[in-house]
Amino acid sequence: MTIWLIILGSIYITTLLSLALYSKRRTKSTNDFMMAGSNIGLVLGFMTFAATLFSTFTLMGMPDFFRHHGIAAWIFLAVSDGGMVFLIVWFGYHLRKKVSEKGYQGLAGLLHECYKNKLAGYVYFLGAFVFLIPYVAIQIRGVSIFLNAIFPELLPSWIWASFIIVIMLIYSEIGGLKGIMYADFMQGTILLITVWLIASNCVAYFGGIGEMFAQVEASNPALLSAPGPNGLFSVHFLVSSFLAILLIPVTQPQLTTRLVVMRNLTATHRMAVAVGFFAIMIILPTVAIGMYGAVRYPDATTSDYLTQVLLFDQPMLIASITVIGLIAAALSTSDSQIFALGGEFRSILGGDEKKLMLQTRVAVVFFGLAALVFSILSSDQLVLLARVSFAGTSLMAPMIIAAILSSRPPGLEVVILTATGLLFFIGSLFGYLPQVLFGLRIETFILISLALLTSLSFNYRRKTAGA
Amino acid sequence: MITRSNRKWIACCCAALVLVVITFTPLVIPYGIYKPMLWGIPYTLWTGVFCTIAFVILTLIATRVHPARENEAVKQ
Repeated sequence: MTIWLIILGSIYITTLLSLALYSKRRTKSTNDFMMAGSNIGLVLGFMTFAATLFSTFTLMGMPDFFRHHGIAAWIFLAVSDGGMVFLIVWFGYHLRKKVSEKGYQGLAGLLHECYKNKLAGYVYFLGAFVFLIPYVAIQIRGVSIFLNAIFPELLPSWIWASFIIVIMLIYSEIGGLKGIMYADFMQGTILLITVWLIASNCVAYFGGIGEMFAQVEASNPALLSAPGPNGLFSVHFLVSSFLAILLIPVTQPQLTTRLVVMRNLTATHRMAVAVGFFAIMIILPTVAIGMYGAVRYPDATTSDYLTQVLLFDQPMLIASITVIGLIAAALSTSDSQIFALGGEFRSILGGDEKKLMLQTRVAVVFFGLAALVFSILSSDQLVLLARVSFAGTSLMAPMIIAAILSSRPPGLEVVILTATGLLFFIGSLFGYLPQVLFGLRIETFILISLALLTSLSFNYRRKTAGA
Repeated sequence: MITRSNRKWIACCCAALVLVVITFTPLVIPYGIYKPMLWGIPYTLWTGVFCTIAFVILTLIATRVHPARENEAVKQ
């Protein structure tokens, strides 16, 4: 397998760097570098959006989630993604309309413009930083643990993590956003092929889909229904997760940027539909991988199960493709997030364009290093940590939507309330505040409160302005 | 003024909202029940897959009836 890995890995890294260099040759301005020329067509737009959205947590986290908590994990992710693509049709239109009036360097800059107050940009940037860096870190950690399990004697996992970060920073700094998008195209394709190859082998092991579920029924029937054997998938948890995932394109800068840089609204809308189909195509096979684990490795640790199912139970060539697919999955999400944070940083600064670009490039390296440090310190609960990231950023949705929909600057109170909500949520994560308030999970409670208060402020200001 | 395109768009949004509500009722996630199975697939999974497909189809329809589509067509 080592030979296959060296061959495929060399092809993969060479292709990544070639795509970055190709993109660099076509980059003529800062706008080309940061915003990919804002002229992205359907195919590239859909693949980069999908590859950015579906990451290591899809290929490693979701199978483990299905294995532990059962088939309601489908509702947790796939149905939420279905709702999310519908929201893109509405939000994409309003966002692009606002961008055509105000311009766009990043969401933080846009909020600063809309609120006519720098605090809005700072709150958004800090919120995105606090919740995206851990998300990037868990991608890197997931793959580095996996690589360490394959080659236990070769390198410690922190060196694998550093290696991944360095590759990502090199091609991001060379190719800019367009380079990342080309890489996403390749990485999304690899991810899709990999997950289907493994799932086919898992189903073949049972002799068919019906037989697979029959064996799960025999070993642990609680996996076949909600709330699952550990009771995780209560209606409450699923609704709360739905809201957090639904709002990802509204609040996470790597995805809002992709809505803005599409060629036109028609391409944005078609991209949303294509991402919906991609979501089904990529999550469906993870059910089979999870059910396989539930029957064969019910009590194994996460890393033992993943190493077995993704590697040792696969033919050598597929196992090698899987390793590349996992690295691709981690890179395709992390590069976009780190780069988007760089873009957000740039959008809240001002001044000379040349100096600004240098600061942005340095910031991207800093964010990469921050993710590396966090990846060494974070836990192995990929999906649950990803969910915290989604839930955290979703709290900024009312502030963003108010800015996008309002023709006048929304009130500063919306920004202050959002900052307070974020602090409350962080406080609950560290155990200073309860996880449940008035029968609701705290993130849902904060989100609903922020939505109501923002709506009140919005209507009050509209009435007083009209009076 | 509410145009025909607007009406269709609003109808799509209402349908999406109804779908969200249905998804989180026992109709799709009954507590501890996995039958009837469809081609051996447990109940919540196959109904969940249908809900996801329905969302994607609704999204497709929504892109065709979105009020801004007419402006976009004029621009092009």
